[in-house]
Amino acid sequence: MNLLQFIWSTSLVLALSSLMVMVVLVLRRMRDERRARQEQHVRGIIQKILFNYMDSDWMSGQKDLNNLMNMNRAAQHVLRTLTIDLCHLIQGQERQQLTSLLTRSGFRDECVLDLRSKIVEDRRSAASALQLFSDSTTEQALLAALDDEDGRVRLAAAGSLKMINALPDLRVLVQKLEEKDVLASRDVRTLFRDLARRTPLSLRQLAADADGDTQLKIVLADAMSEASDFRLLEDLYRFANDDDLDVRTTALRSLGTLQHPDASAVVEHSLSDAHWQVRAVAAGAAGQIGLEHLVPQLSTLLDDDSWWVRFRSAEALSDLGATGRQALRERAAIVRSVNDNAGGRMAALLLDEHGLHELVPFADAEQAETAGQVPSHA
Amino acid sequence: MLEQLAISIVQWLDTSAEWVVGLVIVVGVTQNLISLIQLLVATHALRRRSETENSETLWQQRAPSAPPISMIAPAYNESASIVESTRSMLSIRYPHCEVLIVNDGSKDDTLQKLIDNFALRPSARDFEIITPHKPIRQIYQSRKYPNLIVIDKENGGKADALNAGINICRSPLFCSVDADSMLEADALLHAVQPFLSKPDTVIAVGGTIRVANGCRVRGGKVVSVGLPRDLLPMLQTVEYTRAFLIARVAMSELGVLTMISGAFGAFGIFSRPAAIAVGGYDTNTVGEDYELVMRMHRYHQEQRIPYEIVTVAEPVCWTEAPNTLRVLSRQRKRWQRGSLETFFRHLRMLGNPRYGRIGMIGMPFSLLVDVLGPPVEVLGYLLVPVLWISGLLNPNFALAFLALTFVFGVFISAGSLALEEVSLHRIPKARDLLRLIFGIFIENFGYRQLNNIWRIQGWWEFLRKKKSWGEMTRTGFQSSR
Repeated sequence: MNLLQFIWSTSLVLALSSLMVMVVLVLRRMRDERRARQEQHVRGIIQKILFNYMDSDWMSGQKDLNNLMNMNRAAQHVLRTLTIDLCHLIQGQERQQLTSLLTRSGFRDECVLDLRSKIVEDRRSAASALQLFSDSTTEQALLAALDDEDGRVRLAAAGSLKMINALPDLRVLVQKLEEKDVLASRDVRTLFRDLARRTPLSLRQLAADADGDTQLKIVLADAMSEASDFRLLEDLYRFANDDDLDVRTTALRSLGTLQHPDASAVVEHSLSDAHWQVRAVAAGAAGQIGLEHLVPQLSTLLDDDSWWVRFRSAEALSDLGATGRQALRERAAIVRSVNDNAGGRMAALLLDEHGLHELVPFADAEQAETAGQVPSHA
Repeated sequence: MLEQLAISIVQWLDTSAEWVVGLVIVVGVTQNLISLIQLLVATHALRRRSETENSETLWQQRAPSAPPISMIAPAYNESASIVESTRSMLSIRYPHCEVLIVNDGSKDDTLQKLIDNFALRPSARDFEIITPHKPIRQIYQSRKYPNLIVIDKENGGKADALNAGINICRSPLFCSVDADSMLEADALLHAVQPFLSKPDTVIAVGGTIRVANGCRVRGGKVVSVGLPRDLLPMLQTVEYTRAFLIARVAMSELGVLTMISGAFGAFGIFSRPAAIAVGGYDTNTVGEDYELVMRMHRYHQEQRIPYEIVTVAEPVCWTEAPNTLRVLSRQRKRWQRGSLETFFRHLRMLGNPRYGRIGMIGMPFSLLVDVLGPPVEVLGYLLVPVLWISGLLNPNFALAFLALTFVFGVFISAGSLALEEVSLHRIPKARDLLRLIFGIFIENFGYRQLNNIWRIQGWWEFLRKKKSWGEMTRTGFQSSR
C-alpha cells in the first residue's frame, strides 16, 4: 500500500466509523425516548403501589410486595431508583420496609458484588449505597472495602459504616485513611464531625495519640466543634497552643463555635499570637463566645497590620453587645479622613455595614467640618 | 544567464513550496493526532466520573463541608440580561455564597436596573486593596438579599473589575462568572468537589459551559434545554461540546490544563489566596482568565508548591452565543489575541523542564493550536490551489489530504457527541441530535475557514498591540425561546 492509498483508506475508515457512531447515537436516543415515555407511565403506578406498601399492614403489604417483585426488568429499575430516593428522605419503620424491599430485589447483593468491580467509581458508589442496609453481610463487605486500593472507596465505606454504626476502632480507621492520603479531604471532616456528635469521647483517645500527626489533629480539632461533651475542651486548649499554625486556627475556630466561656484564657493568649491568621480567628472566637472583658484587647487589634485581624476584631466588638459597640463608636468618632486611622475607619465602616450607625460620606463630613458643623461620627 | 536565473527561481519556488506544504501537513497531522489522543484520554476520564447525583443527594453529601464561595460577575453594559443573570446567581443552591456584581462603569442603565430590582442601599463595606483596580464609586448591598453586593466602579475592563471583586469578597474561594451567563442550580456543588477532595492542593476549577440560545429561560434559570434555531449558535454548540468534553477534560486528566473555562472567564472557581499570591488578574490582556491560570502554573512550578488545576465535566454554566457574524468575528479575534498575549508572556515556559508538564506538554500544545494552527491552515488554503494550478503540487495528494483533514474533524466531533450522549445526556431529543450531526458536517464547509480567517485577524491585532474588547451585543435571555 503506498502513501496515497493509506491516506484514502484512513479517511474511509474514519468516515465509516463516524457514520456508524452517529447512526448508533440516533437509534439509541430514539430507544431511550420511547423507554422514557414508558418509564413515566410505570413510575406513576409503582409510586402508588410503593406508598400503599409503606402504609399497609402485613397481609396487604405482602400483596403489594408481590406486585412489585413480579414487575419486569425495566420496571424493577424504576422501582429501585424510586426506593433509593425515598430512603434518603424518610426514617424509621417505613425506611426499614423500603430497605427490605431493596434487599429482596437483589440490590444489596449487587452492591456487595460491585465492591469487587475493576472500575473505581462502581466500587465507590456501591460502598456509598450500602449505607441503606445494616445486616452483617453488608457490614463485612464494607469493612473489607476499608482496604480498597482507592482512597475514595475507603472513605465511602467508612461513611456507610458510620451510618450503620459499625465503624471499626477509630485508630484503625485513621490508619486506613492515612494510607491512601485522604485525611485532608473535606469529606473526612464531615465524617469526624458526625462522630463527634454521636460518640464525642471516642475522639479523646485519638487526640491523645495524635501527637506527631498534624493532619489528624486538624481533623479532630475541626470535629470537636460539633461535640456536646465539654471534656473535649481540654484537647482543644492543647491544640490551640500547638506548634502548627493550621492546628491552632482550627482549634480556635472550634472553641468559638462551642462558645464555652472557659476558653477565655486560651483565646486571650491567642490574640497576641505572632501569626495574623491566629489573631484573626481568636478575635472571631472572642466575639462568638461573648468575652466582654476582652473588649480593650480587641479595640487594640483594630489597629493591627493585618486587614483580616482588624475586620474580625471589629466584627467581634459588634457581637459583644453594648460594650463592644460603644468601643466601636468611640473608635469611629475619631475618623478624620479616608487615609487616616485604619482602625477607626474599620470601626466606622463595620458599624454602617451592620446597620448600627449611619455613615456620613467622608466628603460630606469634611464639608460639614469646614462649615463649622460637627460630623455625625462624632 | 537569464535562463539560469529563471531555472534557479523555479527551483527555489519548487523547494519552498515543498517545505511549506510539508509544514502544513506536519502541523495538520500533529493537530489531528493530538485531538485523537485527547478523545481517548477524555473517554477514559469520563468513564471514571461519578454518576451525576440527584440534587438532594448532592446537597446532603457536599453541603456540610462546602467552603464559602463569593461569585464575582463583572458587568459592562449588560442592561439586557443583568437582572435575569443576577437572579440566576442568587438562586444557586449552595450553603455559603455571596454574589458580587461589579458594574464596570457601564454607560447604559445596568446599575439602575440592579438598584430598582434588588432594592440596593449604599453600603460602607470595608476591604483591603490587595490587587490593584480603578476607583470604586460606591458599594451597594441589597435589602432583599443580604448576600447580594453590587460594586459600582470606574471602567477599567473585565480583569480590573474582577480584581475589585477579589478585594471586596471575603470567602476563601471566589467564582468568576460572566454577567451574561446563567448558572445551573447545582453548579457550585458540582464544581466545588475537587476543593473538597484535595483542599490543600487544588487552586482552580473550571466547569463545562453550554450554549443557552434555544433554551427556555425563566427567572434566570434554564427550565428546558433546547438547541439554537439559528445556524451560527448551533455550530458554536458543536464547538463547545467538542472543546469542553474532549479538550478540557483530557488536558485536566493529563495535568496540563491551561484554560479552565470557556472562552475567557465564563466560569471558574479559584482559591482566593492563590490568586492573590500571583497578584490577581492582569489588566493588560484580553485573555485575563487564561493568563491568570498560566501565571498560577508558573508561580507554583517556580516556587515548587504542589498544586492542581482541574475541570469538571458537569454542565455548570449557560452562555448566550453570538448569532451574527459581526459579533462572532469580534469575539474570535479577541480570543485569539488573548491566547497570543498569554502565550508570548509566558514563552520561557515553552519546552522548559523546570515547568514540568505545563512547559513540556501544555505550552507546546498552545503553540500548535493557538499560535501556529491558524496561520498554517490559512496558508494551506491559499497555497494549495496556487500550487495545484502551477503544477507544483500533486493533485491526488492534495485531494487525499484535504479529505483526511475533513473526515478527521468529523470523527472527533462525532466522538465528542458520543461522549456527551453517554456521560451527560443533555441533548434533549433525537431530532436535536440529528441537527447537531448536520452541524458537524457543515461546520467544515465555511465556518471552520471563517474561524481561521478571524483568528488570523486576531494575530494581526495582536501584532498591532490592539487592546480594546469591542462591543458585545447581547439580546438578553428573555428573548430566548
